[in-house]
Amino acid sequence: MTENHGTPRHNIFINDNRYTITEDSQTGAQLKGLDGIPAANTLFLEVPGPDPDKKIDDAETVTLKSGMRFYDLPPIGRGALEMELERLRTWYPGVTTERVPEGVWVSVEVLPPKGWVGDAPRIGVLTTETFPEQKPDGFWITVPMTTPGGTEITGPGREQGGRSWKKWCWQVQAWDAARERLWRYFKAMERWFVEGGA
Amino acid sequence: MSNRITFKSADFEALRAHVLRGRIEEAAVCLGGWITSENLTAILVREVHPVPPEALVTQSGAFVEIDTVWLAALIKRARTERLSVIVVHSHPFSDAAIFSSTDTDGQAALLPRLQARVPGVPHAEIVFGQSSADALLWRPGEDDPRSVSLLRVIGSNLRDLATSRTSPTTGDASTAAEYARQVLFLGDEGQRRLAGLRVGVVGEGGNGSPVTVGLIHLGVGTIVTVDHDLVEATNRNRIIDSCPEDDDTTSKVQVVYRYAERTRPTTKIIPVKAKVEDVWESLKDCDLVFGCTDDFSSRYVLNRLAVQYYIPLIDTAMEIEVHEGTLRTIAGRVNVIRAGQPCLESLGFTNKEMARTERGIRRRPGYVDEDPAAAAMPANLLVAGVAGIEFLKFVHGLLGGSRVDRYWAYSARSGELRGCGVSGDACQTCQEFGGLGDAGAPPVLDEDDTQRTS
Repeated sequence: MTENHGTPRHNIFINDNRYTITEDSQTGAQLKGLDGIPAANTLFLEVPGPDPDKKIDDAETVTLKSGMRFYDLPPIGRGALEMELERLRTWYPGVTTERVPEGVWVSVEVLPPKGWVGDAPRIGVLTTETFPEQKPDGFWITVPMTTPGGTEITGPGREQGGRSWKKWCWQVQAWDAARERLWRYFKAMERWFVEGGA
Repeated sequence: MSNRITFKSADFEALRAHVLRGRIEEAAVCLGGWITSENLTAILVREVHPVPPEALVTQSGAFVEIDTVWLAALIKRARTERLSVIVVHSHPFSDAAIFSSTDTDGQAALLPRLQARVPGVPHAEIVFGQSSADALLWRPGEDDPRSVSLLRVIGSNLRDLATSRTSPTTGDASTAAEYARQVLFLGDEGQRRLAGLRVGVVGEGGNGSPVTVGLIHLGVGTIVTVDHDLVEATNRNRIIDSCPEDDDTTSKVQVVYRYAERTRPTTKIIPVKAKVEDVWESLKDCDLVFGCTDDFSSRYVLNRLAVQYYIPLIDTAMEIEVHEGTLRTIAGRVNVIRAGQPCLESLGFTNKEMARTERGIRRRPGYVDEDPAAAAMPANLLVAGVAGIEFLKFVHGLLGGSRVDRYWAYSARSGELRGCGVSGDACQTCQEFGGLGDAGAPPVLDEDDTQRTS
């Protein structure tokens, strides 16, 4: 619909909410923004009839027509990370988790290698909801920690849960996402820490 | 109020095989018809769509993500056809699966969108572990999900699979002396299951009366008994517990009520004095229905109920054939009709034309049934007995369950009770994408039907 003075006015619907747009076109991202749709969601344009509705990418420009109807769907992810954590709790005391920008921070209590001294040592792993599809990158230990030779381990790391952590860049070589479990990963890290450290 | 999701056996096995086929998470989406009533919200799974590899954004042992474009196409169909959407995935490393916090977060994001796209329809999610599943159902207009008490699978038997959070509905069965002889082969659990069942009996004449009495004595918890006739002197020879005082004054369903009250007061009897198509609402939350009418039109309606609502139907028929005063034969038949198998129309025992013709004859002005059918209780008892045994086999899976490839036919002339082969293709009524599981309205037949019981 166009007003008298040539100003376009398009009445469109996003998730059944009506919007009057004065531009002739909008990008997918702009349309999402109008209705407060999260960036991760997918925007669709309803297509009359049996054909599939049209996915609108964020950068795609849509030439607007009054009566257009849009809607969004969130990412359809389902997963069992919580199950992984449940299993982990059967193996380790003091399992804690925290959502962080990079994913999920998981840490457990461990005993330090023989001769090492540290205050309530813990191992931490930065994982994601998509574990074990995505292999965690090494592991972290709480610092300060002193080796049997009296060397204090410090160095760059992260602050998490009120503790300082140093990254241990040890990597699992063979990674089979179909078989890996979080508790097994922690076991491998702990073994490497204990054996490598001692 | 209970919530359940009902599958045809073949669909359920295919779904489970897909999502548990490996050691990584898999996903599927089911579309289904749905029932809401005072006692029940149920989704009847009509289609299972395994998510193909190309429609998975991510897949691992602990995470799976479905492409929204793939899902949007199914949601569009659900919107057009007003179908329920069930999102299914697996936790292949869990025995008794329950939804994770990741799942719950995902549901919280999807369900409002799903309810907006397909409003007024219940939707659900299922997660399968190796030994059990968890399931949640969102009723129309409700933000919070309800636990699904069971997944029902209809095949050679009526399998009720408890979900991880709940147990199948079982009633309060006394396993004392009254049922001691049954418990010997049903077990305590089986006896409790009977007490948890809601069974419909349509037609309380010659076949229906002993069927209902059998159910009462077995310990079935709730019986919805349907008949619109009064007791007449001519049918007292085969209605258990009827007496001369009942003639033309007491309804047949009232006789059932009276009998149960005296013999087993814990059985809940719901008498419905009405024609079968008028009690569609009363029957649609039954676990199973016995068809004990002896006319094409009632049989036609009940067959539709079985197909459209996934409510197994045990259909009974009995005939004493007399020609010019000479007994030709006594014959009986029992069919167990269930979703995914040929229905009574496929098998030629009724159809719309037969039902309409029958009604047309009865609607003629001055119509009087001048040729009443011969009937005697022993013949009814035989049919009711076979139906009762099929009921037990079907509900409890005894002796391999009730065979899907057989129905029972008795002939007094040959002295045989035979299992007859069920063959032939699904008809227009029971075929996939026909009325199967659509939970639609009852068929419209002509008015002024007389529902005649055998």
